[in-house]
Amino acid sequence: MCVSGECFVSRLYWHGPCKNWLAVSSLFSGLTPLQYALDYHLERHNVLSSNVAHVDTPGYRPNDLARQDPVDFQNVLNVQMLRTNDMHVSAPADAAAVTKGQLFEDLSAGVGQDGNYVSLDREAAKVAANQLRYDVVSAIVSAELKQLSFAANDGKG
Amino acid sequence: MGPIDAPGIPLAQPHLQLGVAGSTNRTAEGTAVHPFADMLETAIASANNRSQTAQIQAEDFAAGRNEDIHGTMLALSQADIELRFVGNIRNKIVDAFYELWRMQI
Amino acid sequence: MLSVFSALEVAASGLSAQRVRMNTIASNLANARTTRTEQGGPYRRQDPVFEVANLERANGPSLLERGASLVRVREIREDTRPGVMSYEPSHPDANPDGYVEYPNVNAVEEMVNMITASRAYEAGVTSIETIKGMARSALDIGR
Repeated sequence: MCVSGECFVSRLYWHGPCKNWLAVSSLFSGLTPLQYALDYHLERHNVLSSNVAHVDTPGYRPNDLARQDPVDFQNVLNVQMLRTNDMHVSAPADAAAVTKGQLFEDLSAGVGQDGNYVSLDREAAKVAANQLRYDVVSAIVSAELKQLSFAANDGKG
Repeated sequence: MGPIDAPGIPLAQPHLQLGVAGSTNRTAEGTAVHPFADMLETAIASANNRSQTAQIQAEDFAAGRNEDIHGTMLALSQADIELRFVGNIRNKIVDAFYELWRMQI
Repeated sequence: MLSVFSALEVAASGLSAQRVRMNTIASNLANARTTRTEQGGPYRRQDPVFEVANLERANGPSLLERGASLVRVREIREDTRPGVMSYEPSHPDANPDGYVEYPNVNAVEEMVNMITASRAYEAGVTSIETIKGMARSALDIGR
């Protein structure tokens, strides 16, 4: 049976039948939020990259992805600032594949030519910040895995 | 202006949740319950399953069916760690057994 | 879930679009003084018009479902602004009143467009380098 928090296979869109997955081992449960963070930052990069690509598209409104993590206290305070984007389609049939982020329009750079709201500098800054976070979380995951590996080898490296 | 950087990510501490290793208990019906043996069995099954799914993920990535890089790398690492973990537990049990074996003489 | 590869598609579409823009700018500049074309009349300044396009993926959600999209060139539109009239009665393309209509190409405007297209292209390249960096750090997990 799939314990959805643990079964990473079920989170993949192409997911085939789960092979009697017994996700009993909670050795790695601390890594789950980190993996969600990696997923989030990768999705956010796709959204930001689209904004950059659409710098000259008439009428384009740039999107952004906010963290939607129930454990994240800071995000609870930011909920009022978010507007749901009507471009956002309802969740796909596989609920486990839903992104951990909430899509919203970021029009704070103001409108430019042709009704385009993209500010290249702002989007480039966001891309840089996002990449940094992805890299840091990736390094954190590696460090934690190294710790677990050390423990698994019974303290012998 | 809205934030450029996403809100911070909470770090969760990894924790081991092993079953309570105890001596043989009896249920109300009098049948023996072996919590440690059960725990070991599920640990082995879990490690095996994790290995299999990691293998599937890796194959699917190579075939182009899966595009999740960090997910696949994470699954492979976790499978490796869990396998070595369970392997070491097995070694410890075997060592303990032989030690007891020698003691009886 | 969107992936490294979808991000590359997005960035690549942006680069292609800006390249089309560069080409039209080059054409505009080259033909800034072309008074006669096959259609008759002077060269008309050209501009690409971009639009949002979706990418369906076999391995996951489509781009639009996740707030991303490709850039596509919808058309290359002719600028309908009138050309510059110049009194040159001896010019072979002069009209009966002696005026020649030169293309509606403003060199300064084209240079500014070229700079912004170049910047946008570089931003796309940075986006690709970024995603490559992220993929590399993902590969280092558990190494």
